This record gives sequence, C-alpha cells and structure tokens, in this order.
Amino acid sequence: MHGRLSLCFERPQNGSSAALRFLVQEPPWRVVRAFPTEAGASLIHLNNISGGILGGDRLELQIELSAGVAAQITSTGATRIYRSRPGQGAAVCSTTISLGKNSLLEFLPDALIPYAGSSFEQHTSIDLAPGATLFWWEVVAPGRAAAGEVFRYRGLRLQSEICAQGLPFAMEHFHLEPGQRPLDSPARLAGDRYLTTFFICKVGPPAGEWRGLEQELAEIAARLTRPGEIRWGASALARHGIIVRGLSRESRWTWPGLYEFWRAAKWRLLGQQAVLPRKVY
Amino acid sequence: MATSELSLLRLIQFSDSALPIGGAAHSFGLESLAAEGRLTVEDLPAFLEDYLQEAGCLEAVFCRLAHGCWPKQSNEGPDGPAGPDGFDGPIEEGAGPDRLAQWLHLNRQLSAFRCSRESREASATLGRRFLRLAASTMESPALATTLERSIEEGVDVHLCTAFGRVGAFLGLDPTPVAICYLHQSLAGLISACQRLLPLGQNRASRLLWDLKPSIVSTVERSLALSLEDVSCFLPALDVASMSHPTLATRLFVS
Repeated sequence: MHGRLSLCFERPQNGSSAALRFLVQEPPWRVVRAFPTEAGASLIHLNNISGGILGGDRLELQIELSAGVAAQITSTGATRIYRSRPGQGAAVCSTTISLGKNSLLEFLPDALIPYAGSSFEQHTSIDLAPGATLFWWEVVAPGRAAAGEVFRYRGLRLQSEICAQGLPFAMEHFHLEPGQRPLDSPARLAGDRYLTTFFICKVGPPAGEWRGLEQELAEIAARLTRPGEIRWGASALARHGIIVRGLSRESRWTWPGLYEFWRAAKWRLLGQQAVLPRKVY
Repeated sequence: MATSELSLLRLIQFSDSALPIGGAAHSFGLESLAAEGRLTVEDLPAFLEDYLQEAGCLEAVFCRLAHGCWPKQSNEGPDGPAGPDGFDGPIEEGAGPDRLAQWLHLNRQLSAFRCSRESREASATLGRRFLRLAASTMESPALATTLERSIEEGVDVHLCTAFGRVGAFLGLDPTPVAICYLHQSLAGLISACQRLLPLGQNRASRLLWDLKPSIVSTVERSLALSLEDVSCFLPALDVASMSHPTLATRLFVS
C-alpha cells in the first residue's frame, strides 16, 4: 500500500491553539481532528487503519509547523511491523518534519514492534528554524516479547537526521539484522531488549546551557538506572540539543523514565509543564 | 626510495599509538563498561570485532570520503610540485568545488553521528592535534590552512577525517590510509583495556594481531558504502560513554 499524509499546523487568527490543515490524507493514514490542549497546543492522534505496516508498504508523512505554533503528535497504539512475504521488499516509512520559527513539536509515539520475519526501513528528517523546539522519543521493541518472539525480524533500518536550517546536528543510521549481527554483544544491546531514544532540541540556547541541562538529565539518568533492569544516559549533542538513550529488559521501565526526562527538560527550556497526550494508557 | 614507499613510512609514523596527540587519555566509553563489569578480557575479541563492524566501518567511510576531497591531481604533498613556499602547493580555493568546504561538511556530519559528548570531544581533540602535528612535522601551509579554516568556522576536526586529509596530502591511496587509521584506533582501545582489565602485553599483542584480517575486510566493505548506506549501532557503548562523567573514579578523559 502506498499512502501519504501531509499536515500543516498554522497560526490561528484568534489566538487559540494551532489550526490543522490537511494537505493530503491517503489510507492507511488517518487523523480525525486536532484537539486543543490546556497549554494551547494542538494534539493529534496518528492512526494506521490497516492496523500496522505490511510488507512492501510505502508510507510518507509530512508535517509542517508554522512560526510560533505548538503541536503534540502521538499514535493510537504501537506501530506493528508485520511479516513480509517471501520476495517482498522492506516496508518503508519516510517522515519529513519542518518546524517554523519559535514553534514547538512534541512527537511522542508509542513503541515500534517489528514482528518475526518483518523487514522495515524508517527515514526521518527534521529541520528546525531559529527558536524552534523539538521533543521526539522513539522506543523500539525486540518483537512480540510477551509471546516469546524476540529479535526474530529480518531487518530494521532506522535513519534519522535532525538539522538546524539545513545543517545536521544529530544523525543516526541503525541497521539491525539479528540473524547476521548478534544484538546481545556488549557493544550493541548487551543483553537488553528495548532501545529508547529521546531527542530534546531547541535552536538558540548556547553550548553552556546544554551542558547544564546535560548535567541535570545525567543525574536523573543515574537515579533511574537500575542494574539488570534499565540503563539511561544523557549527553549534549554537537549543537542545539540533548540525546537521552535508554536500554532495558522490559518496556514497563521505559515510559516513566521518558516522562521524567521530558518533564525536567521542558520546564528548563520553556518553563512549561509536560502533559502526556490525552488517551488511554 | 620511491615516493610511495616514503609516503607509506610517513603514514606508519603518524599511525603509531605513541604519536604525541594524547590518544592514551581516552577510552571512548570502555572505562564505564569495565567499571560496570560489562566488559571482560574474554569479551574483548568479539567486542572489538563488533566495534569494527559498526564504528570502524563508519569511520573508514568518513576517512575515505575525507581523503576523496583532495584528488591526486591536486598536486600537493611534501614531495609534489613545489608551491610558493617551496614545500607544498597552496590549496586552490575557488577553483572548482571548494574541497575544504566539502571536508568541513564531512566533519560536521560526523559530529552529528557521534551522539555522546565525551567521545565526540575526544575524537575532535585528537583530530585537531593530529592535523596540527602533521602540518608542523611536514611544514605544510596546506595542512595548516585546513586546520585554521576549521577553527575559523567553528567545525570540529575528527581524527578519521584528519587521517584522510593527511593521507591524501601524502599522495597515498585511500585504502591503506583507512587501514592504518583503523589499526591505530584499535591499538588505542586495546591499550586502554590494558589499563582497565587484567590484559597482559602478550595477550594484547595477540588480540591486535588477530584483528588485522577484520580491519582489512572492514575497509574493503566500506569502499562500497556511501554515507547513505553506512550504519553504526553501538547503543550500549553510547550509554557507557554518556555515563562516564558520573563515574566516581576515572583514569581516562573519555
């Protein structure tokens, strides 16, 4: 299936939360409407009506935030990557996000779950204008762990690039092939199963401010780390932000930790409370 | 002695782990792994193989691309046609694509790939010192200009891209340059392990010896890869490097 979703959050005329404009909405993507949050942002739930990503799917997501608007984007559930049929190519999802001047995007999806025999590529490109802020987390599960299906996917390629006005300051190219390159190596996942990445970015603050936030988040990371259960680390990026990385045996340790990092960082950068997207947890 | 042999000898000296650029002060996260008991002597062969497959391949690609910013016909090098200073040729800014700008952009991209601050700063410190030492040793205005422009533009110079730059300056092919880079990189990590783990000299030497075929195959694999294709997945080492500043006792800067 080939599907494209293109959304634009625009500054409203009357000072309320951002107005959502649908440029393109093709199946399997589905966004019903935007909900105003108490903080003045617009919240949307990304839904895949096919229930997951199927082998050979080609999905595109484009999101644009106009200057000064705030948006919160989440999913309606975990992104399930289904088994590919023999000879079928990898499913691909390409996301392009553009953040206007002084805009704020909180991109807080549920976990990515690659099923046994699945093959998936995800390309994410985000560009921030001056003053723009991004909170983006991603949790990658080993498979359907509750069913004992762990690291049985064929391949998972995750490529992310975050730029400030076209210049990259955070890049990741992961290519996980559990059948070819063992993931339990001490350098890779070292026996853990869930990989969590949280980017906290804003174009503007000088390097010294990021070092201060790094120290604050590193203290939280040290406090939340529990040997044998979960390990966290936080570090200043080359410019404009912080990365928080988590490795854990189970996902239940991940979400409370992510919330704590988000809360601390949002308060420090914007002086605002972090409020989880409204949905059933 | 032929120019290529002389250049190779010069590269071997620049690849020595005893090169005075401060390499012995960095463990790139190994100290945290050892302190947490997550890395043992028994783990080392597989660990370093995995390191080569991921970070080694990424850096080999960057080293080759950095080398490629200065094609052989750029007529520079210590024994090439003399420039105005009688030693090497000036960088031809503005003539065709700006090689230095391309090289600086590669460094920016590598900084973006290195998510852990301590490891990124370690690579940048060693890269800057390496380039300064090479410029000074070979009395090269071209290499000095490379360094000065990186400082002017606030771009970190990484060790693998500096290696590629110097290899091109010496007129060597990219493959031996990348091989020498990875060899000195692994030698540095093994040396760090000797101070962190009960790893004796003979075993350390054997470890590096046994990794040589993997170094060559990693560089061969990297030849077919572009930046778009390359991958590096070492999250446990990333987290270890991120937690290094909070270790109670530290032998290493990174």
